[in-house]
Amino acid sequence: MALYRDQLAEVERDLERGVIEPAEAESARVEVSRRLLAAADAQEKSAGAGRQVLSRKAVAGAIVVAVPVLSLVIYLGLGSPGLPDQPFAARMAAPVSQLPIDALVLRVEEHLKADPKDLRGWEVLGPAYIRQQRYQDAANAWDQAIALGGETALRLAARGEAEVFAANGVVVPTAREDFTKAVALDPHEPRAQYYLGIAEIEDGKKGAAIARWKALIASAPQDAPWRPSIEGELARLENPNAPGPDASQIGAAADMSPEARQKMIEGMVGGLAARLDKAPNDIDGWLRLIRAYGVLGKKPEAEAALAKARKTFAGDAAATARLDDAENSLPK
Amino acid sequence: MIVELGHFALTLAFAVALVQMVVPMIGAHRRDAGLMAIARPAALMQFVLIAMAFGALLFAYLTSDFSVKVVAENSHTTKPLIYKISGVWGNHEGSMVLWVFILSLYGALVALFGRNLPDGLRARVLAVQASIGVAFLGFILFTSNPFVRLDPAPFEGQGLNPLLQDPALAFHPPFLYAGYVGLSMAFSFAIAALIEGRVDASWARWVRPWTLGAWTALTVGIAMGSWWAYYTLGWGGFWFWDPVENASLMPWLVATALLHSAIVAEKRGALKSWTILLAIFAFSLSLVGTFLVRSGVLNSVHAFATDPSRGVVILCILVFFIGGALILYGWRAPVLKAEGLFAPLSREGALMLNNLLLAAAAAAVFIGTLYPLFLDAIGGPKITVGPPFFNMTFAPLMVPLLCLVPLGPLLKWKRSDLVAATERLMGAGVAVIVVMLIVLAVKTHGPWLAALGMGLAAWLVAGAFFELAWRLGLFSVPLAESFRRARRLPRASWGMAMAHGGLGIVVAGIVGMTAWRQELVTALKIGESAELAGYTLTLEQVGMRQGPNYEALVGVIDVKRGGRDLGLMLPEKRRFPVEKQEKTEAAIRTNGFSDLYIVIGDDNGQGAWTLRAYENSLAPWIWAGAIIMAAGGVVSLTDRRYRVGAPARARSRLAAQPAE
Repeated sequence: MALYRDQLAEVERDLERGVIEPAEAESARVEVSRRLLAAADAQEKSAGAGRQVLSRKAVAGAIVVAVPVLSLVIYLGLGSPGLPDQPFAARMAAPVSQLPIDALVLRVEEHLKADPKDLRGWEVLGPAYIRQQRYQDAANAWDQAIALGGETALRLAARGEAEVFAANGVVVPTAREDFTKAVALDPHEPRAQYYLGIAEIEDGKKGAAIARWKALIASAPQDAPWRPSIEGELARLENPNAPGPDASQIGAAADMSPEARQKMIEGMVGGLAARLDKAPNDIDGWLRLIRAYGVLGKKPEAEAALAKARKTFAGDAAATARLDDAENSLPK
Repeated sequence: MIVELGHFALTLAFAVALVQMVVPMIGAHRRDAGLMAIARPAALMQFVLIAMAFGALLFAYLTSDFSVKVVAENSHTTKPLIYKISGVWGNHEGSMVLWVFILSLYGALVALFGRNLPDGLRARVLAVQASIGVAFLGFILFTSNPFVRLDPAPFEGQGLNPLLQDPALAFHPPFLYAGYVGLSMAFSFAIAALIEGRVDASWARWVRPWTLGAWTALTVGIAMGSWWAYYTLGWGGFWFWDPVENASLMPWLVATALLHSAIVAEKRGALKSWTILLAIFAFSLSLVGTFLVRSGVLNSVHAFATDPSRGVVILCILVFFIGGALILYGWRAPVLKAEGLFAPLSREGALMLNNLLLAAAAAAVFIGTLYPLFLDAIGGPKITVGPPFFNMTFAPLMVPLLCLVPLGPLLKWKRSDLVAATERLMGAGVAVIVVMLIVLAVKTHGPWLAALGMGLAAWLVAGAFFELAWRLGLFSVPLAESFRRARRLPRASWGMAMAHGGLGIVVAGIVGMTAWRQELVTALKIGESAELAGYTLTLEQVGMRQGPNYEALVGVIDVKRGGRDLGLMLPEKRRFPVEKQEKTEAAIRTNGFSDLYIVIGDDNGQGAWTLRAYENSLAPWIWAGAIIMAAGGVVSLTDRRYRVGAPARARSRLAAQPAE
């Protein structure tokens, strides 16, 4: 109703302003009045028809109870009421000793952004990245450390190792260069010697690897932490029939995180598989590969390797028998 | 605590929305003022609660609280502040919260400013609005909850899709949603009117500003999206007929139609039933847009959700609201009385033609967008409907519409005289001929169709100008009188002229970009130069730059034109290490009439860098025009006058019948 009255006033204003002509204004007035009457009619009809059956107090009471109860039920079902906020800044403000490695890495990164010339920071970051499986980042961190502090056997070996991990365990040429330089600086650098040996195995120079590792063990202190693992590998290299790289032996492996170790094993296995693809006529190699796949829980790969080996040694009864044994000893 | 409080606020909002959906509707049915009165406080409370939830989520992003799953998945400590904010809606869960936040904002506005609405209508509108809220709040809480926590929490987030780390795209969704959700108001009003069985002028008066507001926001949102595509996707296209773009174009087309038909409904009481149908379709297409974008049916940067169960829920919501509304319409529409007869040649007739063309255009886009999906869904062959389809269907519908745009405002209500209207457009006709002649003279080798296109653009701009000139009596009365009239001219008229003129500028931009853009693809060594459209581009240097969360390859290109040094342009190729993605950042230099657009590519291995450069004629006009259109919407919105059309009665009937 109010609207139509306003519209009528509007018509008058328009007329006054000369926006519309008198004849137009007249007909507009008639039309609005007609609508106004209709609206008044409708209002009359609807007035007095209202009824009130529900008690307002009852409705209000029901709402006041139902809303909190319903929302609380849903919230308790979906929410985590006991979990406080964990804003980033507050978590980082905790004492260093309580911070997990991820947080420490962030802190060091933050620090290095402000002061990228801090050699110590990069040296801390390198191994931490390896723990986080950020191998390429680790290699980059060692790049920085070498750029700032110069080449040392330890830094070179660490960078090479990061590169090996980044390449899924393959001793890539750049890594090999690093290891070679490292042993030139310090022939007793164990990691460099170890990976150079791996590289030689990848090249098919088993003898050279054996000699290298033997020399390394001979010159090492009796209590070197990496000693048992390299001795195990050496034993396997000298006697291929010995059990393959099984989890317990590798478990003694040096100061590596489980993930890194897994990665290393997979890399070694990959290298073996690649070599067998090129030179398949090596029954011991095949058996080792099949066993390794078995231990790693890679059944399809183990079976594929088994099939390939059977094909290679199709006419060789002795070899086939050994392959049968290997198949039977695979974990089901 | 804040995060959990936000979660609780969201569940509370859900319960409040349930009350708001049920109680006022019963109240309106029983004409119980007490029950109806619950709608207003409930709408306000719902808004406050959802605002709290939204605020809590924002807080979690700002403080990088990675114990909140969506934050851990979509944020990162090194991300600049603006993208921490935009990260809130840069993912499925958060964008849905933004959606209901805007929905509740509109509901609260009705509650606050809807005092002059009849009680029953207001109660029903808020109840319908709440039912949409219930559906989406339920969807959020039970299938896409943004408050899911991680314990233990990671120390670093996974970052945000670099494509979304962009100023235009950061604020594109809020505008788009303001538009989509604004159409929910028109929808709620339509449903309330159907339930009530009555559509009167106050109904139409209420629907118009909401539709206008939604349309304005949608225009800005679409323009931002297209601008983003222009400078980010690396080859300077501005519209790809991509389904996601179409999803926003369809509601825009229908909202445009609704805007015009609501004028008729308000001023003349005609086309009511059609207006209601358009209101239903406009919001339905908004929902379809949400569905298309969110369900993962469309594989694009926007498809955050790839969880099929969500798609099913959205589909159910869609079926319920669209199907329910259409059934209600089929049942109740015959009750609506038509008033205000009019002759075919009248303002109403023109607006109706406008509606038919816009609706047909929306249908064409709809078919082009959904037919391939439909075919795929029933196991048919995979087809793609590309630009050729849209050029063949959309353009032929748009051209006559654009030709008629300047004519409409000059026609009188009820019954008009085409000759009188065309006389007033003589000036515009002259402008068209002049522009076409200039185009043909300057671009002698250019496609002749471009001259027609530019003529059409001139027709729109000049048409808007001469329409205003006529209203102000610019060439017939003294200047002082014109000035007086200009001050009294309703804002809505200014807004309309701006919107129509802006449309002309958009058309000019599109024609210029389509007909005259020039392209150069080359590989340059440092110090080498190439020529494009009179510009000399010299690659001075290539270097690396460290951004806050990316590193960029930067080409330094010196631009000269006619011996004059125009400065350096710096196209970038950014690499985001956290997200492991790359993004090109074109360098764009504009002079208002054309853009010089340069993209740097990779090193080609021989010491040279791939460069792509474009001269995009009139490209900036596309977005300038869109902004003018949106500004027209805003100007119009400030006009709060009640409106009534002054009908021009046929002379012969003047004596015979004082009123029909």
